[in-house]
Amino acid sequence: MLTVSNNILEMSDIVKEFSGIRVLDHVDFELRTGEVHALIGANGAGKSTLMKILNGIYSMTEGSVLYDGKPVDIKTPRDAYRCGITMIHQELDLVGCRDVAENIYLGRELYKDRAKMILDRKSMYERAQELLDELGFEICATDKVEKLPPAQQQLILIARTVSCNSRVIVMDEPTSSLSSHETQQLFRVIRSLKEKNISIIYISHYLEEIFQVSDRVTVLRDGKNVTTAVTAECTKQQLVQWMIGRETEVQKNIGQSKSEKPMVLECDGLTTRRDFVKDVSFCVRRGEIVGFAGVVGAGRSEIAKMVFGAEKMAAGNIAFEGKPVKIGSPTKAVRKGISMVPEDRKVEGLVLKLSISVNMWLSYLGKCRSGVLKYKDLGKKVQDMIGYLSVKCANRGQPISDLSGGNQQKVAIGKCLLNEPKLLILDQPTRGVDVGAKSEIYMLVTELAAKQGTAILYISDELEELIALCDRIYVIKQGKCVKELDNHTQGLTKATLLQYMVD
Amino acid sequence: MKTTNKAKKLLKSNNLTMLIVLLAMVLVSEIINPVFLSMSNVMNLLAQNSIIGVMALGMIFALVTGSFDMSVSSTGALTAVLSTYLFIRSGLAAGILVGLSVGLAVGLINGLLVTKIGINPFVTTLGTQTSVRGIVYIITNAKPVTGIPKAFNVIGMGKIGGVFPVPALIWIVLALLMAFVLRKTRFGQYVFATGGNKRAAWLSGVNTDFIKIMALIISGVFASIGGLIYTLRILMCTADGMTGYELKVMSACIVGGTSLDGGKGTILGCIIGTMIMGIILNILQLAGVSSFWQDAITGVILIVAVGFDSFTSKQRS
Repeated sequence: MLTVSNNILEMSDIVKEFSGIRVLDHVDFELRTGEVHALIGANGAGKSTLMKILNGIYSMTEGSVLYDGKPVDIKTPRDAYRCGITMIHQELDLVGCRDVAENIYLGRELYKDRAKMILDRKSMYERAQELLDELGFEICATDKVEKLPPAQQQLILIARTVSCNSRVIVMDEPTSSLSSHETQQLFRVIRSLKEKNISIIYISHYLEEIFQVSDRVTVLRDGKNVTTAVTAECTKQQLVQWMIGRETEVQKNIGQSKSEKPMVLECDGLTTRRDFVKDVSFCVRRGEIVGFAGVVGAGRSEIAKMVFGAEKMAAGNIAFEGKPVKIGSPTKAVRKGISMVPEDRKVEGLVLKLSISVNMWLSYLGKCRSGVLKYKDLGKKVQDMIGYLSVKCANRGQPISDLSGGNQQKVAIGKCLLNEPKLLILDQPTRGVDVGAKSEIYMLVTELAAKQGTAILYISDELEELIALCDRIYVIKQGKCVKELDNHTQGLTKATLLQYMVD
Repeated sequence: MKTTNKAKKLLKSNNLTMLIVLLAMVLVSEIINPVFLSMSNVMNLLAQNSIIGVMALGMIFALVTGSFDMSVSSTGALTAVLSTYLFIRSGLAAGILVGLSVGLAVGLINGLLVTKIGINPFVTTLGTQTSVRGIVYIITNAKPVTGIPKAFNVIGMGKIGGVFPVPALIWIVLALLMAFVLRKTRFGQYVFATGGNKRAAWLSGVNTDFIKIMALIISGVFASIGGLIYTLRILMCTADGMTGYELKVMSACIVGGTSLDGGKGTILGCIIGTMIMGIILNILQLAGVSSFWQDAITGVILIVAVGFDSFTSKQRS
């Protein structure tokens, strides 16, 4: 058994609240010297939040961090870096137009003189190359970063963290942009870092990787510790069970099977450029709610956006209401009767500077025959929609930014409904929405499908939601559609869904 | 009930602040120089500012869509030159038609470069400004062109009933038209949505590229209208005519509460902004300050207005 003194890092009783909502609830996390410790949990379990606290991006509400046995106060990423903790983000934060050595020494360049005026390029390149060779990376220190593939860019970040004597490296989904061959290369590097007594916190959604690379694994669920175990002693089923928790009975509200209904959307072999999404085929029928399950970054939104014409399609065919169509832009999609509520309300869904009215009728205006606005008619339509969705607001001229998240989301949905779409795409419609508004949205979605016969494509992180609402669920993993599940004939549980998502 | 609502809305809006600033300035000007509120000076003020005012009505569309138009001065100058030749040879209608098509062409080029190629609007329009000015010099050989029939002077200098200047009437009519377009039409709503959040507007089915192109075309066409009034005012054109107008026009918009971030601006604000700028320069003129100082002060006003906008939005976030 290892003793306590072997812990390089101890985070204890970490509590984090965002405007009163507790996202981390007394979480403990220990990291031993020279171990690879996997951190797993379903979407929104709190992994990233915990790591952002460790890295000084967020401040914690309560709790303490011991580093090397001494309490530390990490307030900024710079503090973390001084301690010897570095985080490698999913987005590779490198300066693309500069070369490898310059990136490795970014912010701590070597100088020839004491006043730090004249760069010592020669020794920067020499030492960078030495380091790269020592780590076994086949990268030349004088290469331009932007010309290297993502895997090598990742290695440069690792070299950078090693060169600044980091003793703890946090890797957040490091394989998301890597091929399987490159992933294996990364694992070799991780093992050699271990031999140098560097500790690694490894965040991933994919269990396969966890078993390949980690010594121990900590599972978080709903912001709480579930367990910490030696990876080799666990099974995949066990990990999935821990991530899900006790299986609660989900109240299904899905009515009859729609397999007899006419097709609204048929997609065949959808592929994005650079194969981020590859060869995805699916269909949605009239009055059917079809779910997309998958971990963050699996490509669910990209598929939906291809259907909506908001993402370039490299290959594939789309048929809408039985006829093959080319949907080149959202404008055309809306004209055909497709509407989308995008994932990020504030960035993609709403024009925050404008009023409720304008946001609500924005999409509908394209359908009006006259280019001159009939404020009376429009106002009535908006008012009716506000009533139908029970949007809580003082009046419809109010700026949309005044509303709560749930009410903003209702407006975003209302904007689509004014068009009376034949296909409605909902991307995470209940994210950041309070419980009351959530159940209202569920009811609305069910009613739309049942009464109006709207075909609905429903993307969600919440597995319960998918099981409760969807007739069929497609599981998307690493840009591919790996499974189609029928909610009418198969007894779906969260565990079965998650299993397909992560395994 | 309705009127109280409207009054409340006006009270809250920036326009009221601007209106108060404007009235305060009028008052101060009157105290400093009693000539200020004389009929002839007021009419003079309207006539003098109508060119900037008209051009600002177009510029505001570029700004509200989150774009920019630095090319208006050169567009106006090229319009003046080409239409001068046509006024002399082919008459009023031909001159006006060709003049307006200059603005249409420059605006279209700007719009295509900004949206389809994706060049930053500031750089794009700065480039077209320089190139178009170059064309003006090439055509005129840097020599002034004169000889427009005196009768056409009515448009630039005429006075209705001997009192009210024709350019000011053009300004007011166009202002009403553009207020209608901005507030009461689908296009106007799309202009605000595109500038407020281009991505969200696009995902709502708005053809945002088309809206941006149209906004720059409107800016170009109104620059041409400004150029036409300019040349019919002095019945000639010069190669360096209207130099520096782009900053004056932009200042008028920004002083009038148009945001450089896009998504915010009103025609009324635009008019008030034009008048505030005009009065400042008028006071300086009446006080006999040199025109060099007037340029220097224009720059300061622009920075103060943009600074005010940036600072308040920074405070909010």
